[in-house]
Parts: sequence; structure tokens; C-alpha cells
Amino acid sequence: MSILRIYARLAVASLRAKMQYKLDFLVNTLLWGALTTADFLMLAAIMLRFERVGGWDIYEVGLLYGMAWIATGLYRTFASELHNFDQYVVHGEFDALLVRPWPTLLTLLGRNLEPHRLGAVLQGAIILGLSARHLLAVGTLDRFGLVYVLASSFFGALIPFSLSLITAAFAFWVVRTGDLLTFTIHAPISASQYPLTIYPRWLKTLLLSVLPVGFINFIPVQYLLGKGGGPWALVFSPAVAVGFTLAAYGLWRAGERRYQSTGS
Amino acid sequence: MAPIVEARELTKVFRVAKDRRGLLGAIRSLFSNEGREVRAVDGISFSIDAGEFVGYLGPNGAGKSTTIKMMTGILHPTSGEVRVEGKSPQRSRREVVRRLGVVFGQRTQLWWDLPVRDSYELLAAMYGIKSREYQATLTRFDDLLEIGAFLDVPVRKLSLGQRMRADLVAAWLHRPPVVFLDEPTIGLDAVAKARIRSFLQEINRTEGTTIMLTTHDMDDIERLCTRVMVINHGRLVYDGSLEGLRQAVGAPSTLRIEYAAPPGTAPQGPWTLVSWEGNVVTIAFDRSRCTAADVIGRLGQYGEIRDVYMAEPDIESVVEQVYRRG
Amino acid sequence: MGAYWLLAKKAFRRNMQYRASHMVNNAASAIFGFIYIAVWQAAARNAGAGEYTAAVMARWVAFTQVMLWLAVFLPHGLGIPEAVRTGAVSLEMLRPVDFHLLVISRELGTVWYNAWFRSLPLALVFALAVGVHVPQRPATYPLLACAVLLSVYLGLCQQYLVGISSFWTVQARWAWQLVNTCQMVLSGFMVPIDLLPPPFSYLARALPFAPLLYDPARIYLELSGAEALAWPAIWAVLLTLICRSLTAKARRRLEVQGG
Repeated sequence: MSILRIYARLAVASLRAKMQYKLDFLVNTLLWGALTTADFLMLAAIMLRFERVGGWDIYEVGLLYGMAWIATGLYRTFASELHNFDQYVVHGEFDALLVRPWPTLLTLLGRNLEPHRLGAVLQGAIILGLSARHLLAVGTLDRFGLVYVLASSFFGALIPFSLSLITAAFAFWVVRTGDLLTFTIHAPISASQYPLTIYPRWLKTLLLSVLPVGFINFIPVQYLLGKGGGPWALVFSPAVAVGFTLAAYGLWRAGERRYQSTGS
Repeated sequence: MAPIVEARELTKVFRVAKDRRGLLGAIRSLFSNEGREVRAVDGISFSIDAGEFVGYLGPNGAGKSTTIKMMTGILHPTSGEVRVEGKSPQRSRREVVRRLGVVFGQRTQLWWDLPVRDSYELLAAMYGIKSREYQATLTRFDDLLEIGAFLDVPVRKLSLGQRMRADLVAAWLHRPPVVFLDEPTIGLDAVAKARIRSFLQEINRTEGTTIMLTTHDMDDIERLCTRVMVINHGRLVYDGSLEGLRQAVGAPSTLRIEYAAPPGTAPQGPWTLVSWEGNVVTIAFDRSRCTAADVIGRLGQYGEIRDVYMAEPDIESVVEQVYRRG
Repeated sequence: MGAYWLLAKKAFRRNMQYRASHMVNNAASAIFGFIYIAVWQAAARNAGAGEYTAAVMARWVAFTQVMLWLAVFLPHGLGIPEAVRTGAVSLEMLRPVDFHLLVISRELGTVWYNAWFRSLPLALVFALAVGVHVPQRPATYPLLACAVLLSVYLGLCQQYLVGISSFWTVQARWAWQLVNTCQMVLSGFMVPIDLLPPPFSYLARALPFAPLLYDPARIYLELSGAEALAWPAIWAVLLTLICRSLTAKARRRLEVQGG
């Protein structure tokens, strides 16, 4: 409990620091909004023209898209320091985290929140809402399904978070990890906005194992919409998210020990 | 009484990898054993009693920072061990760092964009300091360092001297029994240095805080430390009193005297004449054999002194001397 | 002339040092390419959108991924923001060479490097995966060459404008993000601009981003002829004028304020 209290104190402090730069916040909100809108525009262009992708209609894909963006937006909001973590190792700033009597990950995450990225969560939620309304009306999705989808979007944030934590932990070995992010976060998240069935087998396997973004949305939604899978999908997805997070944290701890034994 | 800080056969070996560029290069060097070993710290042992004020000296790259990083649990020793209040900062990092204060002169540990007060409140929460204690500590430090004037100013707007004062208070906020200071006076002017020195002296005397200080400034050592350790090439080459260090070195201090008029003869005394040009005379003398006041008094017999300039041997040369002898 | 050539060569050499890590970027580009190709295959399987059939779109995606490294993925602001920050820019502007030409030619070295070490390997990967489109009409080849040159030049000019904005603002990053977002969605990358929903399709046609990818891709796939070069050419002239007038303004600012 005290861990949460400390995190909250740090998080509030980081927001107060942010508020000194109101123009930055405004412009960043607008630019990040433009980027997510642009991203949606590409999907909309394809879906409006062709109506179906791999047997999924625009509302069904909208569900996937909304969930992926809620999860990603939450991760980017709360774990932005993790996203660029290699800088801490490059400049030896990790030292400052080690001299505090709390887990390094806690103090790291508390250093910087990026509320301007909540716009992505909002956009994801709107698209998810519109899609779900239609799917409820035509009876493809039931009320339980809707609740599950909402809960899963938030739970799903654990998956990009863990992927990012793993990438950050790599920095303890290879120092610079900026290039790796494309593989571990950007590309998998882009891929998760469409039904995984459209991808070549090797890519699909990858997205359900090493880079398990399929469990953010595709696996449970596939079952909820009656497109395959079984009820196990509903239990399995959050279990994967939690298990993967624990494994990622284990790697982080190992990396931390390595940092301490090799120095910067 | 058991020592509060102890290092036993402390050794840190860095492996400097062959320089490979880029990510692939980094991955490749993971699996290769190429590269050479650097013994940054090589079998250092010492123990510090509670309340001691220890100066830790050495030229750049001698292993000072590496030692401090091992003492504070940031780095694991390759071999040997560290004990702070009997516990290993490596094995019980969080428990030990709770009882430590650390200041790195080069970078602040405060929240850059927030007022100093906010940083203190966050630290108070992190170290679980009770509100009444916190208030009392803050009042006391305001007396000593006059931080009250800039408590509500964001850290990024502080001058270097103010920032260092703020950082020192931050390190002492949780009343740690042991504090490590890495170059706390670097880049400061004489007034700011003096202020920080008197604070350190006072806090060491009244609170009994054990302090280990690394510095390049001989004056810091001279005014503060009861004990000096000198490290060079990763080895401890001297550990003892400052007086002992001086005697061991006998490095000459330099004195330049400007007379009102050129002296009639070359000044003679327990020193060596370095130069004599018109009314300016420069001599070198050994501090372990006579005091500066004595030397100046004797030089005064050769004419009216208008100005005196004295230069102490710099730390690099002191350490080099010690190293050559030790 | 010699100075410009020398700078381009230096930029090429500088990039050469990092070619191992650039291969990692290439692999990432290839993965993105495969994702987009799979999306298009799934969407346009039964009926494509007119001329944009599934087969055409696979090559479209491959071609634009390759072109990205020549016209879009260029150094942010062509290194001008750093030069402004460090003050080195006043030195560069004082040299008896044309600043706009100097920066553009220096970065042509980067583009040339990218062509060999990023675009070519990517093109080979995609050729193996989805095949190569070989233009049938001989006239396509000179047209494509012109389209690619215009695309590279316009891409460089857009980054140049981002860079020159740092004379007036410390946040050139914002200008870059804006330009980059436009370059992603309004250039024909992944989605041909005429398939975008209405207001965006007109906007995309009017702005100087479609000449980066859309026009060269249509010429390469022989969906358009010489007429597709007109608009890029007009924009090349316009952007040149804008770049040069802003350079003059920046120089005056530098002379008045001393950097």
C-alpha cells in the first residue's frame, strides 16, 4: 500500500512540474492527437472502401482498434520514462534511482507522466464505443461481452507495458535500445489493430508468443464475436498479461543486478 | 566500538569492451570476450568510526567515484565487501540507503522543475519522515544554510551555490548517520565554498554525522577533514591524518612577495629562492619545517611588503608525491 | 561545386560507420511492409478499389517502404536545429557558399547512402516476398527517374523548412512532428491518397506531400504518365522559393541578433 502512496506522490509531483509548461502540454496534445487521427484515417480509408478485412467488418475491426489504442495510450501515459529508458543507462542517471530506498521501477515511473497521451485513450474509447453500439444493436456482441471488452482494454495495457519493460531491461546489456522499440512495440501494436488471421503464419505466431499483442484484443474479441476460439480465451488473455508482466519484471531485476556489477 | 563504515579488500574490475558501434555491435560484444580489464579499485581496505570526517583524494580516474558507488550500493564489487552499520549495501540495498545521504556535485537529485520545498516533501514521504521532525529539520537547516530564501523557487532557477545548498539539505533531511559527498564544492566561488564548509563542520560536530568527502580542493580537506585517504591507480596509498600527509609529502608551498622597493640583497632563509625580478621575489618553502607566518616575518626584514600571494601545492602533485613515496 | 561534393561525401562516410545498426532499422521497415501488405491482401482480396487490386497494392506498399528512406526518413531538420543550438550555424552561414544548397547537397550524401544501404536491401527483401514490378513502357523509366528526384528534393526541402524554423523557435521538434504526420498520412504511404475519405483526399492532392510517394508510385506502377510530374514540379519551384526567402530572413535575423 505504501508503494502506491509513494507512486501517487511522485506522479502528482511530475504533473505539477508539467503544468509549468502549459504551451508544451497544449501543443503536444494537439500533435499527438493529429498523429492518432492520422493513424485512424488510414484504417478508415481501407475499411470504408472494402467494408471487410479478413472477414471482419468495420465495427468488428473498430473494436480491435479501440482496444489497442486504449491499451497503448495508457501505457504511453504512465510509462513514458520506460519508453526512453536507455538514456538513463547512457548518461549514468540510473545511479540516482539506486540511492533511494524504493524499487527503481517505482521511482522511474513516478518521474514522468504524459497526460497529453490520454487523447489516444479517448479516441480509442470513442471508436470502441461507436463500434460496440452497432454490434450490440445487431446482436453480435452481448452486454457481458461489452463489459469484458472494456475491462480487457485496461488490462491489455499490461502487455505493451511489459514489452517496453523488457526492451528497457535490454538497455542494461546493450545500452542503446531506441532501434529495438520498433520491433517490440511499434510494429506489433500496428499489427494488433487488424485481425491476426490476415497475417502470414510466422507473423501470427510471433504476435501470440514472444510479442503477445494478440492477447490485448484479438484473442478475446474473436471468441466474443463468435469467430473462433473458446471460452478459455477470456481467462487466458488476462492471465497472459499478468504472467508476461511478472516475467518482464524478472528480467528488469536481472538487468538491474547486471548494471550494478558492470557499472556505467 | 564497531566501525560504522567498512571496506574489506574492495576490488572492482571493469571490462572495457572493444569499441563496436551500433546495436548489432553491442550484441556481438555481449558474446565475445575481447577487451581489456581495468582494475578501477584494487584491494582497498579501510574502516571509519562514527563521527569521523574523512577526505578521499586522488587524481581523476584514480577510482574515487567507483569506490563511492560501491559504498552506496550503486555498484557491486568484483570482490571484497562493503559494510555500512554492519550491513551490505549490495545485499540489502533499500535498507542501507535509507540510512545514507548522497550528494553528487555534478548533478542535482532534486526535481528540476519543482520548487525546492516540493522536492523536500517528496523526499520526506520517500523516507517516511514524520511531519514534526521534518519541520524541525527544515528550520534548523534554514539557520545553517539560509535556504528559506529560495524554498519556493524551482530548482532550475537556482544559482549553482544555492542548488548545492539545497542538495545538501536534501541529503540530510532524513538525518542519515553516514553521508557521502562527491565534489560538493566543484565550480563554486569562495563565498559559497566557505558557507558549505561551515555547514559541514557544524553538522559533523553537532549531529555526529560520519562524512566521507571526495574533492579536488585542498582547502576543503584542510578545513574539514580529520583524516585523509589517498587513492591512486585503484590503490590506497595513504591513510592517516592531514599533518601526516603533509609530512609525508613535504611538497613546497610557493610564496610571492611584492616589496615596495627592490630589496638590496637576495632574501636568505629556510627556503629556496625561485626568482627575483625587481621588487617581486618568489620563494618555495616546506610547510612541515616552518609556518607561513614565520616565513613572511623573516621576508619582512628585507623591505616593506606591499602584497603577498601564496600558492599551495595542488592536489595532483601531492598525490603524485605520496604515491612515489608510498 | 567542389565544396558541395565534399560535404555530400562526408555525410555518406559518416553514415557508413553505422551500417550495422541501420540493418536493424531495415528489418523493422520490412516487418512494417509485411504487415501493410497483409492488410491490403485481406482487404482487396475479392474486389480491389478500381485500379488498386491486391497485387498492385502489394507492390505499392513495397515501393513506398523503399521510397520512405529516400524522401521521408531523413535527418530531422537536416541537422540545422543542433547547429542553431550550438551556434555553429552562424559560421556555416558566413561561409561564401549558398546555405540552402550547402545543406541540401550535404544531405544528398545521406540520401545516397540510404539508397544503397537501406532502400536496396529492402527492395531485395520485398522482391523475394512479393515479386518485382517491371515497367513495360520504356517511357516509364525516365519519368520514374524524374519523379524520384523530385520526391527526394521535396523531402529535403520539407526537412529544411523544419530546420530553418529553429531560428525562430526552440521547439523545432513540433514542426518536425507536424510535417512527419502529414508525410505519413497525406503522401500515399500505405493508402493511395485518392482512397482517403473526401476532405482529406482533396487536401492531400493539393499539398506537397503526395509528390513524395503517391506520384512516383503511380508512375512506377504505370497508373499515371508524364502528367503526374506537373504538380510535383510546381511544388519544387514553390518550395525552393519559400526555402530561399526564409533563409534570407534567417540570415538577417542572425546578423541583427548575432545568433
